[in-house]
Amino acid sequence: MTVDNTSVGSGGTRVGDPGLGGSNSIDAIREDDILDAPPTGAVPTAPRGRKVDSVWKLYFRKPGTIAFLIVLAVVAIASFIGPYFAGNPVATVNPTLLPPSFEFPMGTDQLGRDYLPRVLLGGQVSLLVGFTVALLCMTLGLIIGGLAGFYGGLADAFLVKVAEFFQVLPGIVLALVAAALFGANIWVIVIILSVTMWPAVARIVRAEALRISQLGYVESARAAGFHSTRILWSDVIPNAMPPVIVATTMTVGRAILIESALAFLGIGDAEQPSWGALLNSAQSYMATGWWLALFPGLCIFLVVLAINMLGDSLNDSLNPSIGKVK
Amino acid sequence: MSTSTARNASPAAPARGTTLLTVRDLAVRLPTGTKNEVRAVNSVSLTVGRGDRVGIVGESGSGKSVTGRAIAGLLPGSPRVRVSGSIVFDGDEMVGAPPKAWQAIRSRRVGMIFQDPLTFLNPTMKIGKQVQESIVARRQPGVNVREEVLRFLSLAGLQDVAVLASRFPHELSGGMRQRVLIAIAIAKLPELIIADEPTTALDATVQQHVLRSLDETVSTLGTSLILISHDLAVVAGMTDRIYVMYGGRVVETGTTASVMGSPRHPYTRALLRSVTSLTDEGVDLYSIPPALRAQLDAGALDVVIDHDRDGDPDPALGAEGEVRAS
Amino acid sequence: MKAAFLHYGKLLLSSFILFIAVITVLFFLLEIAPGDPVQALLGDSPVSDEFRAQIVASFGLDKSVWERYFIYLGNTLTGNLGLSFGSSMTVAELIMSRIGNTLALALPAFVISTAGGIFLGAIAARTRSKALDGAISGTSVAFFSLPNFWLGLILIMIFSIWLGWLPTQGKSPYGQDGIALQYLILPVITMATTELAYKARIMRSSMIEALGQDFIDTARSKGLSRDRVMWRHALPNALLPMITVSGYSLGFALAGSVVVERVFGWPGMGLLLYDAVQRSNNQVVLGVVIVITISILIINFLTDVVYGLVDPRVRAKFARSSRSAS
Repeated sequence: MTVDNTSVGSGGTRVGDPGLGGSNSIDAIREDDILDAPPTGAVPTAPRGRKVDSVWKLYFRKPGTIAFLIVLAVVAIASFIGPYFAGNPVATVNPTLLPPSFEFPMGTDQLGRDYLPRVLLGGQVSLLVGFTVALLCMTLGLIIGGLAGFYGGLADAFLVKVAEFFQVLPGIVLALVAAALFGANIWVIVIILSVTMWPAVARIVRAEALRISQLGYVESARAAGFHSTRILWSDVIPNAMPPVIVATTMTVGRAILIESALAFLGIGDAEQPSWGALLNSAQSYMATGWWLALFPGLCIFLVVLAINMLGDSLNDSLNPSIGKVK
Repeated sequence: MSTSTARNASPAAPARGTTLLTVRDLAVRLPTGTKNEVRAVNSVSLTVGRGDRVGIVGESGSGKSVTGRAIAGLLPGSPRVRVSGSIVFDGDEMVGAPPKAWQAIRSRRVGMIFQDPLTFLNPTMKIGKQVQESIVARRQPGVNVREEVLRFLSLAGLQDVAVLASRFPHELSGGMRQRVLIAIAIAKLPELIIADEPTTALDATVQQHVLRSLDETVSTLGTSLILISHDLAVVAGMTDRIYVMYGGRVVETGTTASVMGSPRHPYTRALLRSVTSLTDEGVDLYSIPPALRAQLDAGALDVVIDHDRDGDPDPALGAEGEVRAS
Repeated sequence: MKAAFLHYGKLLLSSFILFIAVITVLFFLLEIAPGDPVQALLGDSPVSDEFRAQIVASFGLDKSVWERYFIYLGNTLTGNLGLSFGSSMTVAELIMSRIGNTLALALPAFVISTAGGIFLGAIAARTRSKALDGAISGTSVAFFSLPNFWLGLILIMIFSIWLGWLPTQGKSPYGQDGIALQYLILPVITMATTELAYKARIMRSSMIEALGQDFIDTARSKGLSRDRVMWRHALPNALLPMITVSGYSLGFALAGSVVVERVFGWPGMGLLLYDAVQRSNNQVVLGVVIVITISILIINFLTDVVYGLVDPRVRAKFARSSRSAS
């Protein structure tokens, strides 16, 4: 969900925390402490070269980062490797609707299937869709946004209109239409989500490309005789990456949420239900099997939370706010 | 170096009347990055008497702006900003004073004029309202605020003030906006005005007009003035005394006439020479030699040459300003 | 004024073009859908020959592609969205009968999430307590990482099933017309919560960014209290981007109503869409999608208009250009 202001140029989702603490000040002038100034521009200055290292170092030193990366890793491992160890997800031999117990850590569902392996398997689709969509968005966004911001003029105007067009129809709605007309299919969903979510990334790429194109070294590269395209790919794009990476991270989260919403509405793979699909079936059993609704949703929540937190702290690492220095 | 040559001929005594502000060994440390800090101001001392006009001149990074802000209490609010030393305003020590004390100073006694009138005016608030806030902060009952607003706008050199007061900053030209900043500063009837690069963001022709407005306003109200600029011409034309700063320190001070006429510190000499080389015919453009800079940065020339105190040039300095081996 | 009309006229025109583009895409999807066009419109359910003949006539399905396109376009623009089988109403009538219910959810949710988001975001930016700020920021991220339909399920399980305080489904007790208040509570909370969290985050960063602007220094230099600086200077500027964010998110909320209405069995446009997708009642599907698209375009347009009215810079831009034109 990104936003374009008509005259004030703030970009997409920007989040920032005040201050990073640091050394104590005791002999400071006791002052009205209006919070430390955040970044003043809509996009962070792209760190380059050695500065990038310091951004990464900062990032990994934050306690949250490691913790959430572990969460993601655990979920990924649990989804892809866990099922081999967890039990049989399709055998309907057990008593139905058993609450969680030692034997069945997540209980059994309405057909007597062990719920734990089903939940674990459910992660596969959600994670795959999330990351695939994000990667496609990043690629499309880089290409289109880069071209628009770098070349400007008519190409830019045209591409902006194209982006606007793809943003008008919400992904969920378009996916529903496609499902109605073509039947539900995981690839259709991936394509539709990518098609409706790339404009958000492209917007950020474009803003960065515009900004970077005006910096001195692009002019000098041109003067040195470098081909425009080459400048775009070897200089402009790499320096635009930091906010793009943040945006792509956030896209993973959003894509997972939309995919699970679609699965909840019955649009997804019938063979291998994703978390959303599990929640769909769980709806009828809210009174009799609360665990059926709890666990898949909890998984979605944990994964998206971890991803959002990681994106957030990445954003913070890129825009450390120390207070204005004039 | 054109306006008001009369200024240069004023008496050499440091204070006309009583002393208003005494700064001694002021040091300000500002955070850079997440862990380091830099000494933006390093042991600066200066005095301003009532009705005095004092200039602080130096290149960017010399710490002159930070000094001005420290005196006005407008450093960034981050706890990592550290101030030490002494700032005595009308007998009261301000370093370490509670926020309320600073607020009282800022609302009634010290006014600040900033550099870039476009960004320093609230874009969503009418001009009249912004000036009005200054007047109201004075807490003077029985004052017709509306009239006062118009009075100060006129005093600052603006025309059609009734109409102007209901406009927004974006509707005014650069010169007009700067005059609004002047009006805001003087409307509180301060004892001291600190002008930080008040004309740097303006065109050359507009600069002269705005400076004249400032000159007249300050004369009319009898306010003390600290004029901070990198532009020697601006400072020379409007001040009685001058402090030359480099690298967070004062290197030379005295009456404007004395310092400009016979500079003794190598840096001041180099500075003057580079300025005159711009305008003098047949002279190559002079810039501060790297060797001198190296000496300055290494602290080899950390002396304060005070024209009012020292009779003879510092014996540690050679005729050409090089440091003699002792 | 004229410039304003020109600007908004252009905006309106481009919205209209976008609308046509969307209809074209939908038509295209219909064309490439598997099976014959009649089946694409009717879905899988068998229909009487009469009905079929009606459809063929109404949509000109026996004519060439171009003719079909223009008939479809014409139909849509005149409000003829086709017929729904299994119902005596036309699609348009059907949608109109249900849209009220969706608005009954979307509008309160919009008001709550916008007001709440602004409030919490402002508090988070204002507070000096890192704990409070962290708490608000943290819970915000957590809440917008939740799938909102899962939140709905959990709320039902807690408040309806376990505690029995609120009803589980529907908009009113059986047999009763209109909307009963206690039925409204959970769905509105579900719709509002994730939006609120998102807006709180945006507001917070918008406030922090506003606080970092230069004019805050000017405000501080007037000796204004911290609160005054925050609420009278930072807040109005921080609200500007919020207008755009809120407006655009309302449009997306309409689309997302499908999911919430499904959870609560709420008979609105979203549920209509869902049912139609399940039964491949494609005319209804397309009809709802078209209505959603129009709504989003209208909302976006209105948002831009409101923004233009509120931001003095945009107003000034129009005033300036019309002044220079005359």
